[in-house]
Amino acid sequence: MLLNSITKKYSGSVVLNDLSLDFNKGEIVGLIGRNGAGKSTLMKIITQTIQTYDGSVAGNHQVGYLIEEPKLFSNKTGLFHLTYFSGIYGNTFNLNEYEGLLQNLQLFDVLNKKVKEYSLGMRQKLGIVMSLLNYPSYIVLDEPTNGMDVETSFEVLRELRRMADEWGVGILISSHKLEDIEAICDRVLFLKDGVVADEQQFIKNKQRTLTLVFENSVDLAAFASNQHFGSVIHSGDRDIQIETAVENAEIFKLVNQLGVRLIDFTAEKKTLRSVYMNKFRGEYHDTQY
Amino acid sequence: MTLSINKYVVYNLKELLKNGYLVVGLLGACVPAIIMAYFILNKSTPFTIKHVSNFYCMLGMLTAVLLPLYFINRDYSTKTISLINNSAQNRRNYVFANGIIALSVSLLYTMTGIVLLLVTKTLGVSGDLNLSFLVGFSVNVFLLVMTYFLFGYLLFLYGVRSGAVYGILTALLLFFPNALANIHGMIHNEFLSELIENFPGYFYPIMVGSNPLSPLQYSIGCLTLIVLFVVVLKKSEKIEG
Repeated sequence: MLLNSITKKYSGSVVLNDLSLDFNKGEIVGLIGRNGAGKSTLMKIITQTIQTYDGSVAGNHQVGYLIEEPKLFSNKTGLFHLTYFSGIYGNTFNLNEYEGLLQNLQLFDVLNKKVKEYSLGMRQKLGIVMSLLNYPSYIVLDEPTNGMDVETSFEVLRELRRMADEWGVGILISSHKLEDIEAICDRVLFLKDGVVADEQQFIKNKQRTLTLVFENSVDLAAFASNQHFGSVIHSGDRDIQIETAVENAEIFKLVNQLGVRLIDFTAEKKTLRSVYMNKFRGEYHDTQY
Repeated sequence: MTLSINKYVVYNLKELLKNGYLVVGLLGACVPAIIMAYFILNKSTPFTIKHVSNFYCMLGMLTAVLLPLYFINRDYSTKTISLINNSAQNRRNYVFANGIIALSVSLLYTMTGIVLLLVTKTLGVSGDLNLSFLVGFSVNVFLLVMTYFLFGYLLFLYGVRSGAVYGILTALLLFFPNALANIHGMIHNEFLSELIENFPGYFYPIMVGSNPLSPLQYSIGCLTLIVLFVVVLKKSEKIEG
């Protein structure tokens, strides 16, 4: 799916400004940003629930979605929703096909209960299953783990990952729970002032910042001239900072080979929270050693 | 994912049957007419078959308009409409599907009304029940139900709350025409008099069960219906969410 130069204005104020992005089947893309950054508007444009905007959305438009809160009939059962929203799109809901998903999300046994008896978490889960009706190529989920406890949240995220890997569904997910995004997303887009301000890869890219302090400048120079692990982001008299995805063992192997004396070593994992804070607050908070 | 008009109509007409609203609506139409027929048959009254049809339409037209609006109200108040408003095609299909539901309801009310009139006539209620009256009655019911349904739909599209929509429709169908009829009876200005006579908000509720309309009234009625339908369609295509 390709979004090209999307601009959306409300009463003169620009919510999305010439925004372009793409996402593919089988990929999970995270969307984060402050309230009012344009996440929901972007999602509504992808799902075509907003029709008036500048730019174009190209690609397969079989999109399921759960935006803001689940839209349900409180006096109807969970099963009614699945049957009805398959039926009016000309499909027959096959319970066997969705049984595994419903079991894993602990919805199967409550399908015949009215939705008004569901907790917020259960309603969210039903909304997620509804987004997967009618064989969509993509699904768009806004705060899908809203109202869920940690365990339920984990189950949902695990199922979403499975949907992407096994069913080949492309998923665009927004959440203020950065740990959720980091846990399952292949890519994360930072939305700021109506544009994609940055893009990070997390699952495939285990980048860390290493700080090595040597006994003297000669040892540092020897190490610096022989290391090809990653990019140097800072170099002092005796210390050096490198951004790399290489394992610690490889670093220590080179140190031993060179015979230099390393007196301190720290590895700072690049977390989504740290990147987010850096981007939006101008500071690093969540440093992990 | 394209909304199936057929499936939507079938699912929701079944829903109207299952939840009992259709039966209650038809009872609301038939009971006053049956009571009127009973009095004509058993008491000495000056009333005729047209009074039976008028009593059928009195509450009947209100329930016939409210029944198809049930789905519009349901989908907009629960915001489940956002699960349907996901392409220009589906927005149009939704309007057409609900239009077909309104049409089906109007046909059902027409047929029920005709059966009721034929039965009461057979039982001995006085008055002429000729073909032109029955055709006029059928067309009037169809035009009234579709026009007021689309007007109510438009109110929902502009975000008017369900209680207000139902209140406005009740006033327009039950009270407003009587007020206009009183004004019409009092004024002597020909232009104003004709204006009222040819205003759909007057001639539909007043004439629906009484007489076929004039060609001018039918023309105005059809034009009103087309304008309302186009406005509902255009507004539905643009509405967000």
